Amino acid sequence: MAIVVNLDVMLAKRKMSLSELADKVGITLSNLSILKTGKAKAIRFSTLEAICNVLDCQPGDILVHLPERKRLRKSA
Amino acid sequence: MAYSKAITVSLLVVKVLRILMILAAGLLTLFVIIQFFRPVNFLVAFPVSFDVYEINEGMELNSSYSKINVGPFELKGGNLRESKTIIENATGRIKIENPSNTFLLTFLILFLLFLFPVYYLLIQLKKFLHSVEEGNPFILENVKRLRIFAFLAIALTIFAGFAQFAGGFYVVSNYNLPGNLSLIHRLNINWGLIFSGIILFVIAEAFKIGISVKKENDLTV
Repeated sequence: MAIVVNLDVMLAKRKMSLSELADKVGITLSNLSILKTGKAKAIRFSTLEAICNVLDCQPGDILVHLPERKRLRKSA
Repeated sequence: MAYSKAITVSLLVVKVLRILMILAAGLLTLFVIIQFFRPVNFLVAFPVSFDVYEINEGMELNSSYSKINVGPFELKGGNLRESKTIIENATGRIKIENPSNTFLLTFLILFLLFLFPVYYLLIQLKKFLHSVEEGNPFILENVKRLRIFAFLAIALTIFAGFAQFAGGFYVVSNYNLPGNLSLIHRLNINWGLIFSGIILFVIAEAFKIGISVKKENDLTV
Protein backbone atom coordinates (compact mmCIF):
# COMPACT_ATOMS: atom_id res chain seq x y z
CA MET A 1 0.00 0.00 0.00
CA ALA A 2 1.20 3.50 -0.68
CA ILE A 3 -0.09 4.64 2.72
CA VAL A 4 2.15 3.39 5.49
CA VAL A 5 1.02 3.18 9.12
CA ASN A 6 3.69 3.99 11.69
CA LEU A 7 2.25 2.97 15.03
CA ASP A 8 5.48 1.75 16.65
CA VAL A 9 7.04 5.21 16.99
CA MET A 10 3.95 6.68 18.64
CA LEU A 11 3.43 3.61 20.85
CA ALA A 12 7.02 3.85 22.05
CA LYS A 13 6.61 7.57 22.77
CA ARG A 14 3.47 7.00 24.82
CA LYS A 15 4.89 3.80 26.30
CA MET A 16 1.87 1.75 25.32
CA SER A 17 1.55 -1.82 24.08
CA LEU A 18 -0.42 -2.87 21.04
CA SER A 19 -3.02 -4.75 23.01
CA GLU A 20 -3.44 -1.77 25.36
CA LEU A 21 -4.00 0.50 22.39
CA ALA A 22 -6.52 -1.92 20.89
CA ASP A 23 -8.37 -2.05 24.18
CA LYS A 24 -8.51 1.74 24.56
CA VAL A 25 -9.46 2.39 20.95
CA GLY A 26 -12.14 -0.28 21.01
CA ILE A 27 -11.05 -2.50 18.14
CA THR A 28 -9.81 -6.06 18.24
CA LEU A 29 -6.13 -6.84 18.40
CA SER A 30 -6.36 -8.69 15.09
CA ASN A 31 -7.83 -5.60 13.43
CA LEU A 32 -5.08 -3.47 14.88
CA SER A 33 -2.42 -5.85 13.61
CA ILE A 34 -4.06 -5.76 10.16
CA LEU A 35 -3.62 -2.01 10.33
CA LYS A 36 -0.06 -2.19 11.60
CA THR A 37 1.17 -4.72 9.02
CA GLY A 38 -0.25 -2.74 6.13
CA LYS A 39 -2.91 -5.26 5.15
CA ALA A 40 -5.81 -2.91 5.83
CA LYS A 41 -7.61 -1.55 2.79
CA ALA A 42 -9.48 1.21 4.57
CA ILE A 43 -9.75 2.89 7.94
CA ARG A 44 -12.85 4.51 9.31
CA PHE A 45 -12.55 8.09 10.43
CA SER A 46 -14.03 7.05 13.77
CA THR A 47 -11.17 4.58 14.28
CA LEU A 48 -8.56 7.14 13.21
CA GLU A 49 -10.07 9.68 15.58
CA ALA A 50 -10.02 7.19 18.44
CA ILE A 51 -6.36 6.30 17.78
CA CYS A 52 -5.36 9.95 17.66
CA ASN A 53 -7.28 10.60 20.86
CA VAL A 54 -5.59 7.75 22.70
CA LEU A 55 -2.09 8.48 21.37
CA ASP A 56 -2.59 12.25 21.52
CA CYS A 57 -1.25 12.82 18.04
CA GLN A 58 -2.12 13.96 14.56
CA PRO A 59 -3.06 11.62 11.70
CA GLY A 60 0.07 12.74 9.94
CA ASP A 61 2.13 11.40 12.84
CA ILE A 62 1.03 7.85 12.13
CA LEU A 63 0.10 7.92 8.44
CA VAL A 64 2.72 8.45 5.77
CA HIS A 65 2.18 8.54 2.02
CA LEU A 66 4.92 6.87 0.01
CA PRO A 67 4.14 7.30 -3.67
CA GLU A 68 5.26 4.23 -5.65
CA ARG A 69 8.17 5.11 -7.86
CA LYS A 70 7.31 4.81 -11.53
CA ARG A 71 10.71 3.27 -12.33
CA LEU A 72 10.16 0.37 -9.98
CA ARG A 73 6.59 -0.31 -11.09
CA LYS A 74 7.49 -2.21 -14.25
CA SER A 75 7.10 -5.60 -12.56
CA ALA A 76 3.62 -4.66 -11.19
CA MET B 1 -32.02 -15.88 16.06
CA ALA B 2 -35.06 -16.29 13.87
CA TYR B 3 -33.17 -17.23 10.73
CA SER B 4 -31.31 -20.10 12.31
CA LYS B 5 -34.59 -21.96 12.81
CA ALA B 6 -35.15 -21.95 9.07
CA ILE B 7 -31.64 -23.30 8.60
CA THR B 8 -32.14 -26.08 11.14
CA VAL B 9 -35.45 -27.09 9.58
CA SER B 10 -33.94 -27.02 6.09
CA LEU B 11 -31.05 -29.21 7.22
CA LEU B 12 -33.51 -31.67 8.69
CA VAL B 13 -35.55 -31.73 5.47
CA VAL B 14 -32.40 -32.35 3.44
CA LYS B 15 -31.43 -35.21 5.72
CA VAL B 16 -34.90 -36.79 5.45
CA LEU B 17 -34.91 -36.40 1.66
CA ARG B 18 -31.57 -38.12 1.36
CA ILE B 19 -32.77 -41.07 3.41
CA LEU B 20 -36.01 -41.28 1.42
CA MET B 21 -34.12 -41.21 -1.87
CA ILE B 22 -31.83 -44.05 -0.90
CA LEU B 23 -34.79 -46.04 0.40
CA ALA B 24 -36.75 -45.46 -2.80
CA ALA B 25 -33.80 -46.45 -4.98
CA GLY B 26 -33.19 -49.59 -2.95
CA LEU B 27 -36.82 -50.67 -2.91
CA LEU B 28 -37.30 -50.00 -6.60
CA THR B 29 -34.20 -51.96 -7.57
CA LEU B 30 -35.29 -54.83 -5.35
CA PHE B 31 -38.76 -54.79 -6.86
CA VAL B 32 -37.51 -54.84 -10.45
CA ILE B 33 -35.12 -57.68 -9.67
CA ILE B 34 -37.92 -59.68 -8.07
CA GLN B 35 -40.16 -59.00 -11.06
CA PHE B 36 -37.66 -60.67 -13.36
CA PHE B 37 -37.70 -63.90 -11.39
CA ARG B 38 -41.17 -64.04 -9.98
CA PRO B 39 -43.52 -61.66 -11.76
CA VAL B 40 -46.26 -60.19 -9.64
CA ASN B 41 -49.35 -58.43 -10.95
CA PHE B 42 -49.25 -54.77 -10.18
CA LEU B 43 -50.44 -51.45 -11.41
CA VAL B 44 -48.22 -48.60 -12.44
CA ALA B 45 -49.54 -45.09 -12.49
CA PHE B 46 -47.50 -42.24 -13.77
CA PRO B 47 -48.25 -38.78 -15.06
CA VAL B 48 -48.71 -38.24 -18.75
CA SER B 49 -49.71 -35.04 -20.42
CA PHE B 50 -52.13 -35.61 -23.20
CA ASP B 51 -54.69 -33.92 -25.42
CA VAL B 52 -58.09 -35.52 -25.69
CA TYR B 53 -60.44 -33.94 -28.08
CA GLU B 54 -63.74 -34.18 -29.80
CA ILE B 55 -66.12 -35.99 -27.58
CA ASN B 56 -69.28 -36.32 -29.59
CA GLU B 57 -72.81 -36.35 -28.33
CA GLY B 58 -74.19 -39.64 -27.22
CA MET B 59 -70.76 -40.94 -26.45
CA GLU B 60 -70.47 -43.02 -23.36
CA LEU B 61 -67.47 -42.90 -21.15
CA ASN B 62 -66.90 -45.98 -19.03
CA SER B 63 -65.82 -45.68 -15.48
CA SER B 64 -62.30 -46.99 -16.09
CA TYR B 65 -61.33 -43.92 -18.03
CA SER B 66 -64.06 -41.56 -17.18
CA LYS B 67 -62.06 -39.45 -14.85
CA ILE B 68 -60.19 -37.08 -17.06
CA ASN B 69 -58.80 -34.03 -15.37
CA VAL B 70 -59.12 -30.94 -17.47
CA GLY B 71 -57.70 -27.97 -15.64
CA PRO B 72 -60.14 -27.17 -12.86
CA PHE B 73 -62.86 -29.41 -14.31
CA GLU B 74 -63.30 -33.10 -13.88
CA LEU B 75 -65.28 -35.06 -16.42
CA LYS B 76 -66.97 -38.03 -14.83
CA GLY B 77 -68.57 -40.96 -16.58
CA GLY B 78 -71.97 -40.93 -18.17
CA ASN B 79 -73.65 -39.90 -21.37
CA LEU B 80 -72.67 -36.62 -22.92
CA ARG B 81 -75.71 -35.40 -24.69
CA GLU B 82 -74.38 -31.94 -25.30
CA SER B 83 -72.71 -30.94 -28.51
CA LYS B 84 -69.06 -31.43 -29.15
CA THR B 85 -66.80 -30.93 -26.21
CA ILE B 86 -63.19 -30.34 -26.76
CA ILE B 87 -60.77 -31.08 -23.97
CA GLU B 88 -57.31 -29.77 -24.47
CA ASN B 89 -54.09 -29.91 -22.54
CA ALA B 90 -55.24 -32.37 -19.96
CA THR B 91 -52.77 -33.85 -17.54
CA GLY B 92 -53.70 -37.06 -15.92
CA ARG B 93 -52.56 -40.39 -14.63
CA ILE B 94 -52.94 -43.61 -16.55
CA LYS B 95 -52.79 -46.97 -14.90
CA ILE B 96 -51.00 -49.74 -16.74
CA GLU B 97 -51.46 -53.32 -15.71
CA ASN B 98 -48.29 -55.39 -15.74
CA PRO B 99 -45.95 -53.26 -17.79
CA SER B 100 -43.31 -55.11 -19.73
CA ASN B 101 -39.96 -55.83 -18.18
CA THR B 102 -38.20 -53.61 -20.69
CA PHE B 103 -40.37 -50.73 -19.61
CA LEU B 104 -39.64 -51.43 -15.95
CA LEU B 105 -35.91 -51.67 -16.54
CA THR B 106 -35.85 -48.45 -18.53
CA PHE B 107 -37.80 -46.73 -15.81
CA LEU B 108 -35.39 -48.01 -13.16
CA ILE B 109 -32.34 -46.89 -15.10
CA LEU B 110 -33.76 -43.44 -15.73
CA PHE B 111 -34.81 -43.15 -12.09
CA LEU B 112 -31.32 -44.01 -10.84
CA LEU B 113 -29.76 -41.70 -13.41
CA PHE B 114 -31.93 -38.93 -12.11
CA LEU B 115 -31.13 -39.82 -8.51
CA PHE B 116 -27.36 -39.29 -8.62
CA PRO B 117 -27.35 -35.58 -9.50
CA VAL B 118 -30.22 -34.93 -7.09
CA TYR B 119 -28.36 -36.65 -4.25
CA TYR B 120 -25.23 -34.66 -5.07
CA LEU B 121 -27.39 -31.54 -5.08
CA LEU B 122 -28.70 -32.38 -1.61
CA ILE B 123 -25.17 -32.79 -0.25
CA GLN B 124 -24.11 -29.44 -1.72
CA LEU B 125 -27.23 -27.87 -0.25
CA LYS B 126 -26.33 -29.28 3.16
CA LYS B 127 -22.83 -27.76 2.94
CA PHE B 128 -24.32 -24.48 1.79
CA LEU B 129 -26.67 -24.41 4.77
CA HIS B 130 -23.76 -25.13 7.12
CA SER B 131 -21.86 -22.17 5.72
CA VAL B 132 -24.85 -19.96 6.43
CA GLU B 133 -25.12 -21.46 9.91
CA GLU B 134 -21.49 -20.54 10.59
CA GLY B 135 -22.29 -16.99 9.58
CA ASN B 136 -20.06 -16.82 6.52
CA PRO B 137 -21.98 -17.64 3.33
CA PHE B 138 -19.97 -15.37 1.06
CA ILE B 139 -17.32 -17.85 0.03
CA LEU B 140 -16.19 -19.02 -3.39
CA GLU B 141 -17.52 -22.56 -2.89
CA ASN B 142 -21.03 -21.19 -2.41
CA VAL B 143 -20.86 -19.36 -5.72
CA LYS B 144 -19.95 -22.65 -7.35
CA ARG B 145 -22.74 -24.40 -5.46
CA LEU B 146 -25.37 -21.91 -6.54
CA ARG B 147 -24.25 -22.36 -10.13
CA ILE B 148 -24.62 -26.12 -9.73
CA PHE B 149 -28.14 -25.67 -8.33
CA ALA B 150 -29.05 -23.45 -11.24
CA PHE B 151 -27.60 -25.76 -13.86
CA LEU B 152 -29.19 -28.87 -12.36
CA ALA B 153 -32.56 -27.18 -11.98
CA ILE B 154 -32.61 -26.46 -15.71
CA ALA B 155 -30.98 -29.68 -16.89
CA LEU B 156 -33.07 -31.99 -14.71
CA THR B 157 -36.42 -30.48 -15.67
CA ILE B 158 -35.54 -30.81 -19.34
CA PHE B 159 -34.34 -34.36 -18.78
CA ALA B 160 -37.45 -35.25 -16.77
CA GLY B 161 -39.69 -33.65 -19.38
CA PHE B 162 -38.17 -35.70 -22.17
CA ALA B 163 -38.15 -38.87 -20.11
CA GLN B 164 -41.84 -38.45 -19.39
CA PHE B 165 -42.46 -37.71 -23.06
CA ALA B 166 -40.65 -40.89 -24.05
CA GLY B 167 -42.66 -42.89 -21.53
CA GLY B 168 -45.78 -41.45 -23.03
CA PHE B 169 -45.12 -43.25 -26.30
CA TYR B 170 -45.33 -46.56 -24.52
CA VAL B 171 -48.54 -45.54 -22.78
CA VAL B 172 -50.23 -44.27 -25.92
CA SER B 173 -49.34 -47.37 -27.90
CA ASN B 174 -50.98 -49.59 -25.29
CA TYR B 175 -54.05 -47.56 -24.55
CA ASN B 176 -57.22 -47.69 -26.58
CA LEU B 177 -59.97 -45.15 -26.25
CA PRO B 178 -63.34 -45.59 -27.87
CA GLY B 179 -64.83 -43.71 -30.75
CA ASN B 180 -63.45 -40.30 -31.46
CA LEU B 181 -61.26 -40.02 -28.43
CA SER B 182 -57.62 -40.11 -29.25
CA LEU B 183 -54.67 -39.87 -26.99
CA ILE B 184 -51.93 -37.55 -28.16
CA HIS B 185 -49.19 -36.98 -25.70
CA ARG B 186 -46.90 -33.99 -25.73
CA LEU B 187 -43.73 -32.69 -24.21
CA ASN B 188 -44.28 -31.11 -20.85
CA ILE B 189 -41.48 -29.05 -19.34
CA ASN B 190 -41.74 -27.45 -15.94
CA TRP B 191 -40.98 -23.87 -16.96
CA GLY B 192 -41.24 -22.63 -13.38
CA LEU B 193 -38.15 -24.62 -12.41
CA ILE B 194 -36.26 -23.37 -15.43
CA PHE B 195 -37.11 -19.81 -14.47
CA SER B 196 -35.89 -20.53 -10.94
CA GLY B 197 -32.66 -21.86 -12.41
CA ILE B 198 -32.12 -18.60 -14.26
CA ILE B 199 -32.75 -16.65 -11.08
CA LEU B 200 -30.25 -18.85 -9.23
CA PHE B 201 -27.59 -18.01 -11.81
CA VAL B 202 -28.18 -14.34 -11.13
CA ILE B 203 -28.03 -14.91 -7.39
CA ALA B 204 -24.71 -16.73 -7.86
CA GLU B 205 -23.34 -13.58 -9.49
CA ALA B 206 -24.69 -11.51 -6.62
CA PHE B 207 -22.85 -13.79 -4.21
CA LYS B 208 -19.66 -13.19 -6.17
CA ILE B 209 -20.09 -9.47 -5.61
CA GLY B 210 -20.90 -10.20 -1.98
CA ILE B 211 -17.54 -11.95 -1.59
CA SER B 212 -15.61 -8.89 -2.77
CA VAL B 213 -17.72 -6.60 -0.59
CA LYS B 214 -17.09 -8.79 2.44
CA LYS B 215 -13.36 -8.94 1.68
CA GLU B 216 -13.23 -5.17 1.53
CA ASN B 217 -15.21 -4.89 4.73
CA ASP B 218 -13.02 -7.42 6.54
CA LEU B 219 -9.96 -5.34 5.74
CA THR B 220 -11.56 -2.09 6.91
CA VAL B 221 -10.38 -1.15 10.34
